[in-house]
Amino acid sequence: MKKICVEYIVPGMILAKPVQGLDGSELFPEGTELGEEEKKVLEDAGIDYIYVTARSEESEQSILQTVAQEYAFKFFMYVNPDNKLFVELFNIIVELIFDALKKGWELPCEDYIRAKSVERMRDLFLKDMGGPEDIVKHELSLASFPDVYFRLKKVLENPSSSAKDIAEVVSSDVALTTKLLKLVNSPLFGLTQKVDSVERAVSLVGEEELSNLVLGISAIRYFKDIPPELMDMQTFWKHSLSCAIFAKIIASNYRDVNDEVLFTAGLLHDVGKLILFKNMPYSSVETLVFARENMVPMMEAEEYVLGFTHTDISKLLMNSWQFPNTINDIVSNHHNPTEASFETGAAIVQLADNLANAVGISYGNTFVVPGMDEDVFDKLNFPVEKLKPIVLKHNKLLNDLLSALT
Amino acid sequence: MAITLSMRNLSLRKTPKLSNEEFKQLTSFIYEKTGISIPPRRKYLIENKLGKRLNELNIKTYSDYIKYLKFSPQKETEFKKLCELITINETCFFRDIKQLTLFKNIILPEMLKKRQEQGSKSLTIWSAGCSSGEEPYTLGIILHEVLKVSIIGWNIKIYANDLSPAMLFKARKGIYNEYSLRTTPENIKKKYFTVTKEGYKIHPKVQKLVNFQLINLADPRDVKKIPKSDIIFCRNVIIYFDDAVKKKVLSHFYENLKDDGYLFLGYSESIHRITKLFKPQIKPGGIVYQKNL
Repeated sequence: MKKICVEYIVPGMILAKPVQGLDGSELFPEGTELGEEEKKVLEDAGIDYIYVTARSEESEQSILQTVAQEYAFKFFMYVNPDNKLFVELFNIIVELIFDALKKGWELPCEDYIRAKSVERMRDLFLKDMGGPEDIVKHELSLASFPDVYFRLKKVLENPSSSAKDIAEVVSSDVALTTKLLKLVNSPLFGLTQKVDSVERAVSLVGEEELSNLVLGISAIRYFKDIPPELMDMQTFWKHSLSCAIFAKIIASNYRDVNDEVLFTAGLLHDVGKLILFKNMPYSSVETLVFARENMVPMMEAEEYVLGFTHTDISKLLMNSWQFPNTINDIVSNHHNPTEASFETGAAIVQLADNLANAVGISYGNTFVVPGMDEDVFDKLNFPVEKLKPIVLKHNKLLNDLLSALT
Repeated sequence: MAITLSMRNLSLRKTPKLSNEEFKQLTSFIYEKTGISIPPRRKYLIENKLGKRLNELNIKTYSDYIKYLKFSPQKETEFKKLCELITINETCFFRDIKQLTLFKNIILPEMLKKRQEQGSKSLTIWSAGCSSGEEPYTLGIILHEVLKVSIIGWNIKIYANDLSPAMLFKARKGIYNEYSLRTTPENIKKKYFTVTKEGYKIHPKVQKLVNFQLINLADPRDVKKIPKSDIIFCRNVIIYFDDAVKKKVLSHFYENLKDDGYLFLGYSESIHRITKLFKPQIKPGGIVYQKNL
């Protein structure tokens, strides 16, 4: 027996419990075989959930497959159905959803996804009366970015500094050090020996690379201290970390791309959204609803609802924080890589973001799949056959890293 | 999360292919008839949305479908079906409570007072693009809440229109599910809805305030059917028009609105780039527009 939303009824399902109408009268008895007609009646009657079962084990498998496909398909309504990237992503997602369903995952209802009540939330700025600059200015007045990053930056800028100097700065921050060591010891980094000191980490990973990782970890902490009311931070960082892992793995296939830069860029790719959620909670949810109901990518929804996008925000924010240009460039352009100076980097994060969102569908974390310019994907020249192994590798790493870093 | 079962090679393509030429024909047809502009990046979405309809009709190509839309004896009915497929009907009662509070606490009392002083005791509200009726009924409920029994002495009319006959059918029926009422306060639910087998039914005293009509906002003859209004609500509708049609629709509102009337737009809609016909007024809870006279 499974609890499902009425919208996911597929022909052949059998009612495992009788269904009552709002006024208490019986609409259908237990054992009713459901088809399109019954589905319509239940929908019109405003029934949310029903309990269903199947005639046989075989029938249940095929029903779950259909449900998985239909659920996944909604996320792909606006992409080219003949493009090999999207077809592959769709196939991977259907498998993941099917697997989750077999393990008892309850698909979230469409209504539930949308019904975040934000009516009491107030935006800081009205439309056309506060742009990205105002929002970032307001944000910067609230808190400053963790000091350790800037101290580290200074050390790196000094040509005579050594691994020991770097280690000294990082080690002064115990929490940071713990996270950093957990991160570099994760199988994601594939180091053969266990790293037990920052100094050792510097020599194995590299100075530049290590400072990038410090940047990423510091950012998580900065935002953790000031969580927006509406956003579940665990959900947010799960997606961000997911994107970071994908970005790093994909980057390792390209010779001229630095994996750690891509990891950090992936981790930070959506910080603009956090700032938006903090300052414009009402509009932010309007944006989600708009994207979902119109079946358009988030960027388009933001353009419409807000008049600007989350990358406009992150660009200004990262500028004022003096983040490395490469990371800012990648993050700011991860939805339009052709405009990035480092196009490959931005394209990798875009692909990683799509993968992270796709994987997120199978645990109800994803609202819309962002989509990707087909030419950008072609230029990246990444073999689609590699996507599924990458997803499997990612799934093995995600939860451990998430608890290590957040 | 091990992947256990292999179901390779699922296809994403569920419809015939919509060529660029067909897409152009289709969107210019829709634009001419409705003013709704569909940008090229929506091609696959349109392909998906209309593909189902092609299947139902057993039509093999979009070219044939376009012919069917233009020349078949059923073209009128089919056009209405098409409108249903391309418009979005997401709405609920008491959507954007801050704006409605502004209406309830400031704009409406001011307007009622004015009309009463002018000795007319009549009020006309236009809910332009009403979808399945949630907005005009919400406004009706607010009027009852504000005027209470004295509503009897008033001549109140709420005109509500939409492009989709299916939506109007639902609106006239006035029965809604829990989801439509998700932002409705409990006491309002109890006072203005009765629970029936099919769902929550709106109270007849609210229902009788509202007059539903099938109207195309971009069509000047259609718009003339609405009497001059004191207040116009048009929320989350003009986004589907391009600037030219937006301009046209806003000029229709300008003509319809009484000189001291108010126009409410959607929370995130702004018109200052489109027209100078209206001036925005910032009030607690949002922005309302008045005519630039």
